[in-house]
Amino acid sequence: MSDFVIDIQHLGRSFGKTQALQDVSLQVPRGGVFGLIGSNGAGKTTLIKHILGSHYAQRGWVKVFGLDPVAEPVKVLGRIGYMSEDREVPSWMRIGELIDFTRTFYPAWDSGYATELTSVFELDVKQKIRDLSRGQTARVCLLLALSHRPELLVLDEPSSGLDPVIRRDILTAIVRTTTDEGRTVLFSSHLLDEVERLADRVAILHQGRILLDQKLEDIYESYHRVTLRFDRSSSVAPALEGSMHSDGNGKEWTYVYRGQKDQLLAASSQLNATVIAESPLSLDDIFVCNIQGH
Amino acid sequence: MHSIIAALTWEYVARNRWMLLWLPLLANIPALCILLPLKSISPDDSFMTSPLLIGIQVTVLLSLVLVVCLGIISTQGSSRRLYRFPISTIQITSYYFWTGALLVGAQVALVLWLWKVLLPIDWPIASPVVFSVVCWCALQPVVRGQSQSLWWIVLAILIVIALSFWLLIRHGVPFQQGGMLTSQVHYWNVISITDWLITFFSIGLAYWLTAIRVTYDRSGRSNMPLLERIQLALERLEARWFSGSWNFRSPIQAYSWYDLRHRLLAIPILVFLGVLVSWVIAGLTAVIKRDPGTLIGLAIGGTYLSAVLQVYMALLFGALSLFGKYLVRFEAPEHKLKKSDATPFEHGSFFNGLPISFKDKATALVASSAMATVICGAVLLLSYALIGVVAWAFGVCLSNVKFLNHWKYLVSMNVLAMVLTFVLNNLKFSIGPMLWRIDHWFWSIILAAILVAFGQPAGICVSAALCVFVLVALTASTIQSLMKADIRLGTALGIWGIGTCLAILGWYLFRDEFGPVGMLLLAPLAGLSMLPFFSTTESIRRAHTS
Repeated sequence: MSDFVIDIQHLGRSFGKTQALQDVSLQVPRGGVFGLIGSNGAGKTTLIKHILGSHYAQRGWVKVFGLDPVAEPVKVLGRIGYMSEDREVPSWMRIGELIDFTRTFYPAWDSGYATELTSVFELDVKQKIRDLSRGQTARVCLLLALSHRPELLVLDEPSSGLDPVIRRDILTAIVRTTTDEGRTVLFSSHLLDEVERLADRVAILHQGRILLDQKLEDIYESYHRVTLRFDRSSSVAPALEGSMHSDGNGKEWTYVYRGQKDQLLAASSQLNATVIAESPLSLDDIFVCNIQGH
Repeated sequence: MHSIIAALTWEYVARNRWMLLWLPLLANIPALCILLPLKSISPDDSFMTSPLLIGIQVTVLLSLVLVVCLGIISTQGSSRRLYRFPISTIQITSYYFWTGALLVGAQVALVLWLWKVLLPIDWPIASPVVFSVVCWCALQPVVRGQSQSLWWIVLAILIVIALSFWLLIRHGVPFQQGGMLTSQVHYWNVISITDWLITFFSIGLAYWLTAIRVTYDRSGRSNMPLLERIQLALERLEARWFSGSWNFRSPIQAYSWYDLRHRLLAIPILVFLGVLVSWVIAGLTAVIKRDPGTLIGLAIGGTYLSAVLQVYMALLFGALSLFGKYLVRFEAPEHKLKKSDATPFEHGSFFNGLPISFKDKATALVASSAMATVICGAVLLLSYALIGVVAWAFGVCLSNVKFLNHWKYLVSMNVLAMVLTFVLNNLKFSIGPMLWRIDHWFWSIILAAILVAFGQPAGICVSAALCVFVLVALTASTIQSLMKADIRLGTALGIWGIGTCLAILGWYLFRDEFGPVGMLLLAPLAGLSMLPFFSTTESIRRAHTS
């Protein structure tokens, strides 16, 4: 069995003149939470649609559980729990009808777990979907995605437009899915605080390209924010090799640096600068630096 | 203000340019399906001047008005989208009311003029245009500013029935035995002063009521409280009845159930309502006239009309499934505009994530289409059986009922309606994708060109070309589905065998009635009804994976 639940190599996709994905290579390891972050229109949903087999690979290939999702959709989708960004479910159905309808498609459907989630999410099975609030609809979608205990949970912008209570439900479900059962979660978001709290591994997608794909702890280790003091005053930031962003004036300049810390120190000493302050970078800062630097 | 109205008009035309072009063409198809075979029955065009054609004109006109009104309502969408603009409620009302009336009148006039050009008929144009405009206006108070309630359909049907009586009276229908088939029936050629009075009064009243409804709706007040209360009570009953569990045996069954409920169930429901209303009208008229023959005659006519109605509804739903995305583009909430391509009769992204094979999904869709058709057929059959029972109970000799003299026509039209409904129910996935393939049209165009070169009549050229197109599409789909193992060889042979037998049976039964065009058209109809079994899987495969 492959160590990777999702294996994407050199994936390319264009819609007319728009290049939605360009040479994307990504491997999602089995177990843990994989956060896919990117600004609006970065290509996150397109990438997820490739994983679900809704888009075929124009260039490169996509394997999920070692299978081609386009050629074998039933085998792949049967092991995936998916919650779409638009959370579009048939509005005329009652919650109970929708649950009964959905469970028919999943042999591994856990009715006990579905009932438990119905209770936890405070859902009334006799209520019609069209009468639900956006948050309640999100809970129904989450219930449907979780109740067959999928090996891979794919959540496309799960928290977008939801209040903190519902977001907490979703985050708890993600944690529970991975910690209780050792399964894999792939979720896309531009709410970076959520990704920071949950993800083991993060990929930044920008304009259809992967800018970064690392473990979260490695990301923190490889990005530094330092304030350097130089001997001479300058109107522009002195060029520090490996820096991604600079800000300041006169003799004191603050840099965001990508690389090992000893390399940073060596580079700054070459410029006769001394480190006068150092502060950790949040994922938000790292994301912005990557996007702006590109 | 003027610029907002101008901008809205520009937006409306830009958004619906294709639908406005397609609508009169679509409205033509079913009527031509009735009229062209009739023309071929009587090569000397004697049938086209027979009194029976007046009844057909009334039927076709009602259907035409229905299709055009529903089409324009769909293209206009809800008035709610204008509430956020700084324009007065009267302007909103006027914008929807008068532009719609103008479009309906123009489209009906265009279609009728087209029929007069294509067929040797002498139907009036002015009176149907006035009637269609009154129908449009009368429907506006019901459809504008409505809440989520679907009860407006019931009200709309009642209004259409009331207006239909006006139409029938102006055609001289005596509402007694014989009905449309008596010699008193005539075309509505002259618009009398009474007609103008009815027209102006109806339009004025409708405008006033529409303005009130839009005003109420804009201020967030419930404007149909009684009907909403009835609906809520019914939903409470349904909730009590619903035990909370459905046990589907397979994904095919579940998907079929969903598709039937979501997309197709409205057609049998409307057919049922049509039959029911016909029986009520027939019963009331028979009581007033103290004549059981009237009951039989009107019930037969109403049942037949319901069969025609089912074809129109299937056509409308089929057209919406093909072109609906153009309609919902402006209607959809902004956050959904780019996310969802789902039309009112399509299945959204949730269904793309379900683990069901393309083959099973295709089987489910074809099964639900067949199920909807069978339910319609059962309702019609039940009505005809009831007519037999009532006739037996009252001692009415059915052979004396004039319409039944044309029993072959009656049977064939009902069967034709069933087949057409099945075909149209599958328009989206089986026939739609075939229409855009030039390789399927290639041989048809060649054949049509050869026939034209040899001086064959236009009807022969078109029907032969259609025949070849369907045969090519069907053969290509069969080969493709066999190569991709979407269907077993035995099943494919069985479907071809049944389809061919039905076509031959049709040819045999109607060899004397149908001319060469009618005979040629039977083959593509049989082919189109076979096509869903072969092409749906591949179409779904393509639609799923873009």
